[in-house]
Amino acid sequence: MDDQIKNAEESFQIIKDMIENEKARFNENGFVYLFWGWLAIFCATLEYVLIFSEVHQHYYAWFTMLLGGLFMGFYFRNKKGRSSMPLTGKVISCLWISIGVNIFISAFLIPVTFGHLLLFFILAMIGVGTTISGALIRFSWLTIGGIICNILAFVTIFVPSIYWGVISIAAIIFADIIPGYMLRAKYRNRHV
Amino acid sequence: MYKELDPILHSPLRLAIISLLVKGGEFDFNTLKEKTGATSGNISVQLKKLEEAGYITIEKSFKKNYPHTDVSISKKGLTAFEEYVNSLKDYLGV
Repeated sequence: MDDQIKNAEESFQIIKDMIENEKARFNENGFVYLFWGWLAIFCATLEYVLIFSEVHQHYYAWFTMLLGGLFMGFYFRNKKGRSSMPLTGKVISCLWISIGVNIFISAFLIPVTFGHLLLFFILAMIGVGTTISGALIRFSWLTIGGIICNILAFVTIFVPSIYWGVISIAAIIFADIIPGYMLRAKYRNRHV
Repeated sequence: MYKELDPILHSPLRLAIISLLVKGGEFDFNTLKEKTGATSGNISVQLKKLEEAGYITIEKSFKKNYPHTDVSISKKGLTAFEEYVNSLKDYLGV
């Protein structure tokens, strides 16, 4: 009898998790993707401005992303506690924190060793993260955007670094901007 | 005092459809038919009832010149399903 009650409780817990995951999908309004997408485009554009202004440390433009990371930290802290997040949200959150940390550390380490592979590594990480996020929230625009971002990562190996900004912008448009606006449109349709 | 179970969801096929949609987000008509094992006519009738209740949204389009129907759960449907499950829990005392 106790086993039956336990099984029933477990079954209801599974259903509850399913409902929570679906609720999280409903509340996905694309803000995070749009925020990072536009910030990355701003950084890439700023870097070009610094390059053409003959500023030697033009890559400092990307440090603006750190401010984005701080803003996101506060945004999620105020929005919702991690403990109340559904499993999908927790997985996506962990995935992007580890990707962010890896990119941050690599940005310091790779230039002195394999500098020509820096953007490949960054875009490949973002591509994989975006593809997995898309699969987890079952949003094909995000999955396809991640795959395109991943393909563009390989393109960076074969082109001069002056084109990296343009490729970054293209990758971000596919991985963040388009899916972000599609998610926003879907969110608005559902909450009319 | 037990809560009354939602009559829209308290039907095997409609509950099966909503459960599938909660689990999988959205499905096309043929997939729903395949997964539930119901006839096209029966599925159509139940989808109409769920749509009228505002529990699902139905989008009709054409794919390769064939009509295509996508079904997805609405927020109202998700809330109703959650309440239904909570009522069942009360009945079972878990």
